[in-house]
Amino acid sequence: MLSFLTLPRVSWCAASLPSPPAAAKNTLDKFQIIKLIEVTPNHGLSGESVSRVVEVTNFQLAVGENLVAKLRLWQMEINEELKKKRFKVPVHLGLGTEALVAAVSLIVRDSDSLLLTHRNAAYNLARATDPRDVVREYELSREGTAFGQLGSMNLSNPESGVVYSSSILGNNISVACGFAFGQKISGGNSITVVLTGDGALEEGAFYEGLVFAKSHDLPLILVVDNNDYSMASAISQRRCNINLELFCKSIGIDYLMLVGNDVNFYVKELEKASGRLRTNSSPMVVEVHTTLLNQHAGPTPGWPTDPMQVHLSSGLVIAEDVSDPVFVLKEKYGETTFSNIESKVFSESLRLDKK
Amino acid sequence: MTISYLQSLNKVISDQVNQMENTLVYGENLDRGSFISGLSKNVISGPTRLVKNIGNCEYTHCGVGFGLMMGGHNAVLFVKQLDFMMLGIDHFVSTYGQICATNYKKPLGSFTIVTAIYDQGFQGPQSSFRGLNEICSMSGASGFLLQEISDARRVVETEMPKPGFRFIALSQRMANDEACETKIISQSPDNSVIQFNHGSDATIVCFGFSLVYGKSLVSAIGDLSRTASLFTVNCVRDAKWSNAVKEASKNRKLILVDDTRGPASMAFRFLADVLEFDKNVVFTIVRHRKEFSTVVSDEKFEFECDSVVAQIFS
Repeated sequence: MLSFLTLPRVSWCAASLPSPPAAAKNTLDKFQIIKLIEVTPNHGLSGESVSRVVEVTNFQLAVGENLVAKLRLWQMEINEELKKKRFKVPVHLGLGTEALVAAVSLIVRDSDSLLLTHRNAAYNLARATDPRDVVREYELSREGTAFGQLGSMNLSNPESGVVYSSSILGNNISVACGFAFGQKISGGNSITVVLTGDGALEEGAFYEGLVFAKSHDLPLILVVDNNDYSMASAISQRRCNINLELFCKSIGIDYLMLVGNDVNFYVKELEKASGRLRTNSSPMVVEVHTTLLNQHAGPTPGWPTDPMQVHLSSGLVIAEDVSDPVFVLKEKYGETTFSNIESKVFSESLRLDKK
Repeated sequence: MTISYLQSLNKVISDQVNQMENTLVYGENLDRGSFISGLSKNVISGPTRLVKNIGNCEYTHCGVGFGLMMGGHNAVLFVKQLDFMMLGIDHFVSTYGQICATNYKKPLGSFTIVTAIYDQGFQGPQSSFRGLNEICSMSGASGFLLQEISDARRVVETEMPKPGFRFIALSQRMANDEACETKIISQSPDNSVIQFNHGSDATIVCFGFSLVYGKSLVSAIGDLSRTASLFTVNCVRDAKWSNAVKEASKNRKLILVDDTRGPASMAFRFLADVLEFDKNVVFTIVRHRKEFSTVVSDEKFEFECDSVVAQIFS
């Protein structure tokens, strides 16, 4: 098992490292690799993102995959600090959502608007110029992303395209309609992407927001991160089923469902969807099935039995199935290559142990 | 030819809105039928000014305005009555609160909600909420009450184009009254306090839509060969009323008039500041004694000016 605390320094000389397994090579051959580009966490890498790559050892990793691995590490590092009660603010991590987060982050362009929920940590980490600024914000430091004034649940960073984050379920949908209406007034081909969850489907704001967006043909992608749970309650334990696809159909909104945590597939599908919106303004809904692999917001008072205890010392993979986007990477590349990916990612640790 | 209070305010508002670009003007039935009881008449589209008739989803309307504002665009939302804005409380408190806490490098747009306060009494429980000051108190937003042409012009022309958010409200009760225009003597830079008269024997400070009663009191005091200063106060956080406080201290006699209902009257806060400044000021408060009513009834605000004046000078 790897631990970033004990990780040896690794030389990234391609010639000195073993070749990736044949299976990984075959998989990579499926991508149209057009150029080598290091991932820039800030700003959207729009257009053909799926074909952009990052050099890992002696092979190339799609930029989305690299981001998935980095987001896993950074969030796990923050999770370790949550356990130590380093922050006064609660932090809602998104372990298990990395494929979705990376894909959304990659398709959002500089001129687009991204609106988030309280579970915004992974998105802000993905888009920050320096992810450590996000951690500084959690410490309420003046050097934080929002000068220590927004903390975690409302953390936005307009400079990185994260224009608004709300902890009130459904609140950000109408605000997103406003951003999208502004884009329509201005002309051009910018879009607005708003994140919400299966909990917000229970709010009236969800329905009136979508009806408004459709009524005015706004360039809006509403992404429903459906992780089934509202804290300790699964959907089946709290409400009847909602057929989102049917609802979207009833008001003439395009609907797309993404499952499987393959970040490259997610990027491709979201790029196709956003491309359509950029040329033909109309809202759409993307429902993505995820599994939350961490505690609600670090250790939750009154809920000591919250089962999602994860530990960085156990490595980057949390669940040994497709509910874990990092496991999907591991399965794709094989044990040896994944180990190289892990080592490369650990070299980009937030180093939160060194204040 | 005389025009009504509502017609005069519609002209002031539409003149201003029609100068705004990069703007969404929206509301339910704002471009047809009664034009929101005449409030949105004469508002026209421009190259970058969209005028949109919208559906019945007030919560979303409020969020849309804040989204436009954050994106650097302007929004003017016409709302038939203030009660509907109870559905937007989440945005006024949470969304607006977050906007205030965020450091923006790009300038914000302007978001104005233009609405009427149904203070006439015959709409019953569905319009029993009159407290613009209460929404403003909850959210920290500013609210301006248009009483005459002069203050309406001042407020609308200076506040509506400003980056940020505010309510601008008019009185349904006064809709068909003849429009008045009393000369403004001075106003605070944030339009929180506007002075209409200067005198040396008493100070009258009006809250809600009570300027008309304040003017009657000035007249009644004039009948005693005395003069009074007259102010109105809008619902602005940290209202700049220090001049009015000093005037109350100088004149020694203070009449507060408040036609709003509800326990959160700004008149009490103003009075606290006056007494903190000078505990020897003699005061009387003219207000609805029954603070809250949900029954259908004529809620005309009536009092005897002469007896109030006699009381303060006794």
